[in-house]
Amino acid sequence: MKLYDSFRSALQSLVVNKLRSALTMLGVIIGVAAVIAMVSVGNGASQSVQNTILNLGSNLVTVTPQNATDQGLRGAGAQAVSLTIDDMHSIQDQLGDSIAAAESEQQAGRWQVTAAGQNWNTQVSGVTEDYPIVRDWGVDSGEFFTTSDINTNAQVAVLGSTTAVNLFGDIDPVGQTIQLRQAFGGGGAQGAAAQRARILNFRVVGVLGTKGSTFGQIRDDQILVPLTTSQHVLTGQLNRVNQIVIKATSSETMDLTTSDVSNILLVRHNIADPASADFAVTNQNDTLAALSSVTGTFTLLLGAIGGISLLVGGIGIMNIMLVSVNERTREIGIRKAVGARRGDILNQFLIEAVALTGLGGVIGILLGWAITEVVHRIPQAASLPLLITSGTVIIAVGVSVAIGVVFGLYPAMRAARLHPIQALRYE
Amino acid sequence: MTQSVVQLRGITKTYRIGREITVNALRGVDLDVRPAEFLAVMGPSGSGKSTLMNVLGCLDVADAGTYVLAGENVNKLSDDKLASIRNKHIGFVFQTYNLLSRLNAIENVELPLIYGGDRKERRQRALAALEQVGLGDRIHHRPSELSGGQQQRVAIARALLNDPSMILADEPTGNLDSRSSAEILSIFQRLNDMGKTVVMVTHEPDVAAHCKRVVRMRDGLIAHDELVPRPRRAEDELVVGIGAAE
Repeated sequence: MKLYDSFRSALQSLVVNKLRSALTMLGVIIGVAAVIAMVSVGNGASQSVQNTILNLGSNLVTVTPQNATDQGLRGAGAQAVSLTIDDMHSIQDQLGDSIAAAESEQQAGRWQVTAAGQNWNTQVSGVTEDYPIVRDWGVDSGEFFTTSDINTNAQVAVLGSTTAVNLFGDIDPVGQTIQLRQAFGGGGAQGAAAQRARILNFRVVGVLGTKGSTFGQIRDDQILVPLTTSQHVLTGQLNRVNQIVIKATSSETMDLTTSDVSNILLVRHNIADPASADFAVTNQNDTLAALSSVTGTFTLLLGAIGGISLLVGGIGIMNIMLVSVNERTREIGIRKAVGARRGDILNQFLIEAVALTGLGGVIGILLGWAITEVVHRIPQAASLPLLITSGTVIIAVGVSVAIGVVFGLYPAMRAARLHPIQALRYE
Repeated sequence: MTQSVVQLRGITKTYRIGREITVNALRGVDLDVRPAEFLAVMGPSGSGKSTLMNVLGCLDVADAGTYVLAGENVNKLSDDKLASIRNKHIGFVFQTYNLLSRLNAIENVELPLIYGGDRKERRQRALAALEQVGLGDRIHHRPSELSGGQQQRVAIARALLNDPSMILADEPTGNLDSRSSAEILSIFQRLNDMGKTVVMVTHEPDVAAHCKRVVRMRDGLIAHDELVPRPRRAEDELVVGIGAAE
């Protein structure tokens, strides 16, 4: 029996029992739609997490201070800031062209900022001149501060876009002066009157481009100043940095860069045992891998829920195919009498089951796509990129066809094994 | 002497009903059917004629004995081989027509060619077969839209399609009125005149009288085997029938 005839005959019998076919297909449709919608939400979530991390800059290796707990001797220094700007210079000197760029940062705390009659409280950080390269984050207007600004502890500042708007509104902040104030001393019994405030003038040289938020932290609300200025003028913590960020040349070299950086710092800090290092080196790949394993599990879970409904749909297929074989026993007898072999009957019923599930699969994909479109219109999920990948679609169709084969096989085999005489006599 | 279409030697078949009872449906049947014969198999129910029919039609396999069909020994063939033999060598006509209700007349007739044969000539041959039984104008009718006699003629067209060695008819007129019966019998006779071998199971002597040879079965054996001196012609009855109606 030619495949063409099998298909024709299968479709004919599906058309004859329209309602039954539709209801049977519904199980598969819902299953496939669930898989598609769930997996696309899962994929979207993991994509969104990935974007968030890459938003911090790509191929980053980050060094942060770590309290050493070596034999309890150095562990007490809870605020131990073991990293210095010299560490960064040493890394730059020794790794040369094998890294793309490096920068150091120091947190200078929150300051009350005044400009053009407005005031605003925001985070101030000291950074080095390669910050825009390392973070893939340039200025929208003006320019970033330069090496000479660093060398001269210049009181210049680059504003985050939100900060700029809050302080200056529509006015271009570049060239304007801002005042940083921080209250200190006083307090307690002496009261507010005893407080003194430091007031520092900074010239705005640039405004950063808009980045959006990362894990709830609005990164566009901050002020960047030269690292040396932060150390000497704002914090007084000379030479200390809170983190060194190194940009590797590519994603592939990140692991190598990570171990190079670690080795250089171990030597510089005279630490023999890496386990007692007073710093931690993390790379973005590790972070991505950790998070994508979380989102991967999430996606798998969602997919499994869809998979279960697909399984239930498959059982429905099997049920209806068994009924169909029973109903058409006589037809099977007739076909066998005129020369149908076992394989012909097997194929006929198998193709019928596969046609049901395959068609159900295609409709399910369309429904799943429609669902993701609807989800996309929900405000809370609007930022979630919903991804229906070709892989998801291929797997969904493949699985639904496979379900047709698996659950159609037993009924088809029963049909094929019928004895022609008994089948012909069946009432 | 021409080679037999069917050669049965010592065919036995035993059925088991439940655990205890065994029925010896065939107890050593010898039978030869020659080309262009028109043979009636008669006998009371339980005589084994249905079992003989099933064995002849390769729907069932004998327990012992040899069966040579059109020069081919079909004793120990697999199910699939038997299916091919049925497809090529045997055209079935059943008492209850056994047409597929979902298919129209021509699709029903085409069925044997779906399981063996060329798709291109399928429609043409089906059409020719339907014209041969006088239903060339009813090819798109479903079985439910046809009379019993017409349905049986569709079944005969289906049986003819693969140009089988033998047409096997099981009580083909059992469900038909006398006029339709005469029509069916006249078709068989015409086919037989053209050289087709026809084997027909019937319990009606009237019907058997149209055949050239009658075999009577009793208790799983052939009791009588005789030639009919002058078979009745169904066409004559049709003419008379029409005359009487007018």
